[in-house]
Amino acid sequence: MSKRVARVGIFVSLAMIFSYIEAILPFNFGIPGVKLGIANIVVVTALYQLSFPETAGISFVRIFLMGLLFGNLLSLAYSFSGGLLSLLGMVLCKRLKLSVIGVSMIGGVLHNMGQLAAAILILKSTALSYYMPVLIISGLVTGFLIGIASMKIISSTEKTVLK
Amino acid sequence: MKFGMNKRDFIAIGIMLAMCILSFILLNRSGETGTYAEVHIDGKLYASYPLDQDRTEKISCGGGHNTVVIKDSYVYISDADCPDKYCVSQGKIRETGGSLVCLPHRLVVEIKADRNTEVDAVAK
Repeated sequence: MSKRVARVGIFVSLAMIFSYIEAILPFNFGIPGVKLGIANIVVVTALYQLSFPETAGISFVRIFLMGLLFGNLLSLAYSFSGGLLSLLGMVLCKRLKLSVIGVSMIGGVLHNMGQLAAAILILKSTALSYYMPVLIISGLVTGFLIGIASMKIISSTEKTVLK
Repeated sequence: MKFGMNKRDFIAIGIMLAMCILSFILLNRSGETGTYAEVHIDGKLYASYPLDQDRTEKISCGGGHNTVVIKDSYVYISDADCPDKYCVSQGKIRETGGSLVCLPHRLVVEIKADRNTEVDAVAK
């Protein structure tokens, strides 16, 4: 149990560092609201190397702590909605035997969809829904890049201390 | 296959692309010039301005302000004190169904073809 707690703690701190790096050095694609989301490398890696409860714990503890430290209640709501939908979608895709990259790409799209859904609920207006095609394409692209990075990490850490 | 991707990946990506194209077709703007700009704050209709009258309105919302300008039938947000300023960078619009959104202030400006009031509905 203590080993699992320590392991989750390491993953959370890594994910927080990635979020922080992205906050100070944004990988901007020139499209509002679109970012690479490098913290998701940690979540995708955890999905393959740790159990589901640990992965969910890592994702939500990171979102909560980053929201507490650098965000506000609204940004927390977007992140939580995106993180939840993305996590559930990725678990499903992994069960359906998609590859790491496929899982990450679907995760990227669903992350954007979740945030869009939160924005629609908060605005109480569907005015932003026209943004959906842009968010699907950007989710596929960023998910692909995150997927490549995650695949490399997963294959090179498979037989290490993580188990 | 490259990067270890398999057939299931491409099926999933195909579904996503289909959703993308479908949403693009369904949500595309009409291309027609609208006649009214509706300003919604927090989901409630705040004001409705005709596009044929030039005006500048400084609107207080969500703990800050956005300056909505109507000029030559186009609507744009010229200034705002929100942190991201995406509303200002969205540019000028006039097509029916088009919108300007300031997420931090929960402000939505939408272009409508007709004024949306009870009176007009009865008059028809």
